[in-house]
Amino acid sequence: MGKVIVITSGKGGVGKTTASANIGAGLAREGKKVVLIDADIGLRNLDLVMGLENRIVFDLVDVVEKKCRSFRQALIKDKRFANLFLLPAAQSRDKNAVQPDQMKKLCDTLRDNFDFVIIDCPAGIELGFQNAIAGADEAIIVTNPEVSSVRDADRVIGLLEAEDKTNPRLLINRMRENLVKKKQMLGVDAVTEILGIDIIGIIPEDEKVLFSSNKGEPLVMDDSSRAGKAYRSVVRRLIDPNATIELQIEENGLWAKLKRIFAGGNGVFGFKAQ
Amino acid sequence: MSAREVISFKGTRHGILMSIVEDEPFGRVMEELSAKVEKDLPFFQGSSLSLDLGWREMTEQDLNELMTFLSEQKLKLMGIISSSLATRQIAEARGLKVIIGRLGLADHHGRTRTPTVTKLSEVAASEAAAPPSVRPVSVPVPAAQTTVQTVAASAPAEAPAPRTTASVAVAVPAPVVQAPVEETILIKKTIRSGQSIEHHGNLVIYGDVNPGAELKAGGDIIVIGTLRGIAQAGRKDNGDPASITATRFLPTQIRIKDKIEENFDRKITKQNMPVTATLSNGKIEYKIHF
Ligand SMILES: Nc1ncnc2c1ncn2[C@@H]1O[C@H](COP(=O)(O)OP(=O)(O)O)[C@@H](O)[C@H]1O
Ligand SMILES: [Mg+2]
Repeated sequence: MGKVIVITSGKGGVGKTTASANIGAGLAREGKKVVLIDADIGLRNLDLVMGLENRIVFDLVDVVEKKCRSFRQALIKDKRFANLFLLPAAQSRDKNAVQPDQMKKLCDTLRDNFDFVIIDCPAGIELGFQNAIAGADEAIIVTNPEVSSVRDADRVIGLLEAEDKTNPRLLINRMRENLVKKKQMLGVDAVTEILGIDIIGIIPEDEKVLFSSNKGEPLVMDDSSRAGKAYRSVVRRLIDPNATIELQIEENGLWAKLKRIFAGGNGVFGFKAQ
Repeated sequence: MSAREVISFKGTRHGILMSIVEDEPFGRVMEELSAKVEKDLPFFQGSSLSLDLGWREMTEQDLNELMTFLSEQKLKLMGIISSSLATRQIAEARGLKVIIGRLGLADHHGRTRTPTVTKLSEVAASEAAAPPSVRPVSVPVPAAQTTVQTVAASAPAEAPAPRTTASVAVAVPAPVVQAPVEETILIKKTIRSGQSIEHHGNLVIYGDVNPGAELKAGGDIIVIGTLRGIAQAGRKDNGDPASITATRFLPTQIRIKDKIEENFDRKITKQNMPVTATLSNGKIEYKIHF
């Protein structure tokens, strides 16, 4: 039986869609059977980031309204991985087009057919959030290391707790260690101290993210990208909770502190679960 | 109690990884550890150890005890993995390597506790505890106040005793106060941004109060955790003194009766020590519990 993981945040623009695409592609790369659901109805863009826009025929709303024969008909097969699928969002419909019980039912069906169901969810402040999280087993909260983003993430953790989803994990995105050093950006310590939830990963700021979104190719496949490597370590932790978090470290000192914190795999202090 | 593992071990490429559950008293952890090491000595002999401590907040004393034990057993402690900043800082100060986070080996509970609300003043409460995970938690005010119970709030040393009108001197070490106490509730939960807890009596929070969260109490407030949000005590205008105590005191704003404070002397907030704020002669005064 698969796992349904919802990816959400306090407000928009923090990197949920990017995270969904990269985590989905990363899991597929590890051989897992994965379906990505774009539940950010009306703000659909997971298909763009995946480079699958031109293949959309049916969407999430068609599936729950039974406008197509089965969910399979709406699934779009990824270009790169035969075991990766996208269930796109409806572009024009309102955010309440999918009700919580419909979402739950859909997730139950998909759970039986896939190893991972990854849901790109609206932000907590947006309409449709409650609907999108209804069927999820686990949640990943994306935050940027900024005071306002962390504050909003905290709010969403509260909203999730209210729905009995109690152990969300944190993905800190767009970390710039040079700014943390100059005290112009919150560090990992400051963020986790306030939120008090487990970290699933830290993604550095990386301009390749933008290029790859534009090209429609998740950069988790790009071995030279720091963000891509960081996403691969997130994927490893999703598959095996005992894997240490590893973060690609630049040797020029920018990432010196993170090296200390996340010294996985470089022989300083790290081990991998066997 | 269930027979869950307090400590679990795993062999890795880099030595033994030892995971310790977060919510067992440290004394119990040490007992368990010495029992395990004694039992499987050959397995441990001369090994390097790494510790996964989860969210456990270690004191310097805990760490000293642990390190002394390990070195007596000729075990080398390589470093720790911990989600708690306090624990990481203490370990770093001892020259240990640290990794933030935790692994999935031990039975961890995280800091996101399941919210519970307990009334301290009424054991035979007829009404059930406030509904779990509801925001904001508002507890109905009983019309007629039933009273008299012992309240032994696990507050830091010298925390204000629940206010009394007729205190009974009891010859026991702990400051046990028999008093006509108003409803006091204990909430075990992190209070997050946007959440508001309002209660007509005294409020004890066992958890953090995050920025953007708000506490409002008719009487006193005690936070066993970090107070970063807004706390408002003494809202009931009955002439009784009111106070706000937190084990880590970093509020955005506090109010006691009609006095508001938002600029805190760094001397108060910088200390990693419990602080009590009270109103005295129309001014908010602070006591740091060193
Ligand atoms: N690690 C990163 N480094 C640089 N840019 C990023 C990173 N993550 C996301 N972005 C950019 O931030 C913007 C918002 O990301 P997106 O995933 O669409 O957020 P959301 O889905 O939360 O609204 C996009 O332009 C994306 O390219
Ligand atoms: Mg998006």
